[in-house]
Amino acid sequence: MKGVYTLVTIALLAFATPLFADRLRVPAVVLEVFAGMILGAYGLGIIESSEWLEFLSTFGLIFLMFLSGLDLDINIIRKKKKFAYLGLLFLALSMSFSYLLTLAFGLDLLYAILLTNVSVGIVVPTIREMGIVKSNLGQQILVAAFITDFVTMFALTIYAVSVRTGKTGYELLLVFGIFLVFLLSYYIGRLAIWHFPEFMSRWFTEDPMELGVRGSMAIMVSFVGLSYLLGVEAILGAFLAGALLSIIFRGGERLEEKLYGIGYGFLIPIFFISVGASMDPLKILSSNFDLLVILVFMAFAVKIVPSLIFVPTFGLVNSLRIGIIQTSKLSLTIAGVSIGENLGVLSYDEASTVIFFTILTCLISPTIFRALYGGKSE
Amino acid sequence: MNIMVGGGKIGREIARRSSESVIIEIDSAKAKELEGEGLRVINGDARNREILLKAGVNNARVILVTDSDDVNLEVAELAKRLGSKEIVSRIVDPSRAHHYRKAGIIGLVCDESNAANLLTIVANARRKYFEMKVSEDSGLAGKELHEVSLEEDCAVISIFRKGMLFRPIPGIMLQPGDVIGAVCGKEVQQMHNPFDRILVIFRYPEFRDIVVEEASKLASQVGAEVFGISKEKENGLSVCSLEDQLPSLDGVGESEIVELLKHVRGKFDLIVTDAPRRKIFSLWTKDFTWYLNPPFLIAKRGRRYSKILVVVNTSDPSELFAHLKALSHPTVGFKVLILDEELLPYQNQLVEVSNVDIELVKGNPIIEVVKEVKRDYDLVMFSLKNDLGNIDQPLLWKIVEKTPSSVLVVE
Repeated sequence: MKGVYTLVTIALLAFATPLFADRLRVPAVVLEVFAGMILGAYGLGIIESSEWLEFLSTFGLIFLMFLSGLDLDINIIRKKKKFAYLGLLFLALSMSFSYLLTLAFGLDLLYAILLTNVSVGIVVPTIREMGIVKSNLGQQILVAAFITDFVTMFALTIYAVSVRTGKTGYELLLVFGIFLVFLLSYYIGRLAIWHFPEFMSRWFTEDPMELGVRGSMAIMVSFVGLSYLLGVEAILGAFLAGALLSIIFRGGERLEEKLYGIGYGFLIPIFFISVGASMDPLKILSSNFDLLVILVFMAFAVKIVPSLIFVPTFGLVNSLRIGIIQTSKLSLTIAGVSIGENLGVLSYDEASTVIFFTILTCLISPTIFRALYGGKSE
Repeated sequence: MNIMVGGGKIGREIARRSSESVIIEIDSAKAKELEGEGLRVINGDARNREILLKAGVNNARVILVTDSDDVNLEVAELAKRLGSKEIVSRIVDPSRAHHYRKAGIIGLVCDESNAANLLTIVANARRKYFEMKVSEDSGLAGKELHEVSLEEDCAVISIFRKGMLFRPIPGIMLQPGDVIGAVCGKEVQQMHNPFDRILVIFRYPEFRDIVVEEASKLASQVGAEVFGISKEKENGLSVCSLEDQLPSLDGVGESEIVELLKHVRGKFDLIVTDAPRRKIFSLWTKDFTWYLNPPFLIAKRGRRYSKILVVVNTSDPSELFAHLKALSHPTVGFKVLILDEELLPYQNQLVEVSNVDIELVKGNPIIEVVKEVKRDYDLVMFSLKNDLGNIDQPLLWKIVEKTPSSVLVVE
């Protein structure tokens, strides 16, 4: 019976949070996590853990990663080669710097991956809101974010597999197995478009059977299933399934809107609320405050220092803007925390602190980015 | 300085309106009459070199308003040799317009009153924009715009009526008092007819007839000359006119053709070739189509086009539309597939073309393009720039390789 209350509460929260988020001008996910904290086990105790919640929350995370993959825009990277090279260099410097800092502070390698990561889901709406998506600066920010997102996703998977399996080469090869399936699926997809365009067209037009949604879900679940079989993280499978759709079809807003509707309209809020519900905010602030401060410092350091490579192209202020917006984190970082916790690399307290830190970057980075613009767009 | 050849109604009218002008009149009585009106006149035959020199032809604008196309063309040729800076002529018989074009003359086809108006403006202005008023008694009133024949290097861009600006839609009925605005110049001619010289290259003998036939049909439609490459024993490959001989490329390797293409780059407006047999973009070697500079036509039909698909896959479709206009004909139907909503305003460039069905892609661009190219078009056109990002290059090459339609690839 209690499980029913939990689900009803979460469903109502998922509906209400965007309304307040709009008024407070913060991302809805921040409110979702905070609402989870207040109503969760360490707050009012209304949201209780259950199998249902666990399942929906996991499915929400998988869907979140699937939509992250779908957000990837390979065309921008192909069109803006110079920006892609700069983005790669930025990523390499940022990753190396993160690694050195985690060594210096005695933290696990996982932190280096999480600190390097960026949330495309925060970056895109922020620069869209500023009206700079099509400017060179906007394109550079996007290209760097896409590359970083993809590489850190891959790095996280390799890390997880190597920790779980004791760093043997054989299991690592399985990670590449999923990439082979990805390539094969790409060619099959393109052949299907060429030979059965009328059928494929139904994926993107008004179809009462919602063929596009069914097909996308089938691809996503198949890749997640394949990940389990190959012993790879499920989120990589989901992410690759999203990226696969993005690369095969290169656009087709109607299908994307429907998938966003299912994800952000229901499953993903459940994931964020349940993440919040499992956190103990008082403990984070009392016992892990030092770690929180260190993480915030490192997060900005590992992005702002490498962002100086953009100075010759974009000037100092714009380079700082690029660095600051790249510190925003969300889905992959939170997914990384769950993985770290499952692997036993992160303690419960550490995990909570990193999630709290993630939420902070979601709030701070876009705010500073906007402030550097002084409210003006290019 | 303007030299009017012919002192008839039009020549007289222009000379009156233009301050720096001299009339060459062959009829002595008429010449005296004109002199009596205070105009500068030279009595003589403009086909005579001395007369033209006396009028100061060097660096002058020559306006031909005789009532004979033969005389106009003959004088034009002589004037050109003597260094006139520009030659403008009234075309007497519109069916001979192409003779004027070949001679490099700005030719204008219109009735007498309008010819005077138009030629005066040409004479006085250094601009490329002209206006022509539709008068009550002119033959233009009551005609539809597409019935008004302008020369190839001119295009109507506006119609002013009672203080309002109208778009030059082909079906618009002209009324007395309308002012037709037109621009003339080389650029316009290029828009109207982007091909003057077409080079035919075929690699496979069995496709020779198709390629040559399609190139010749296209050339006759747009008034271009067709050339081919042939192999001579001693000199290697050379370019020749297709009118002289049908070239043979037996035993010529693709690398030789690619090499030759480097030498003739920029000398031809279009290259017509046959369909590739192996993958254009293979892992080991690239097909020679890969090395072609746009525009090029992969000829597969060998006949005139009646259904053409234009895939608007570039952020600036002007070039694509210029080629579309060059191929427009009452018997040709176009389907224009626009892949991005932001390009919709460009459809204005097509108002003067009839039989055009413009469609904005609603579903997935890749799938919709594939669906459309499979619908048996004679010709598919797209841009090699492909900078919209919603279609990938391999798909475009697949269209070149796999569809039964001919494919025109533009810049």
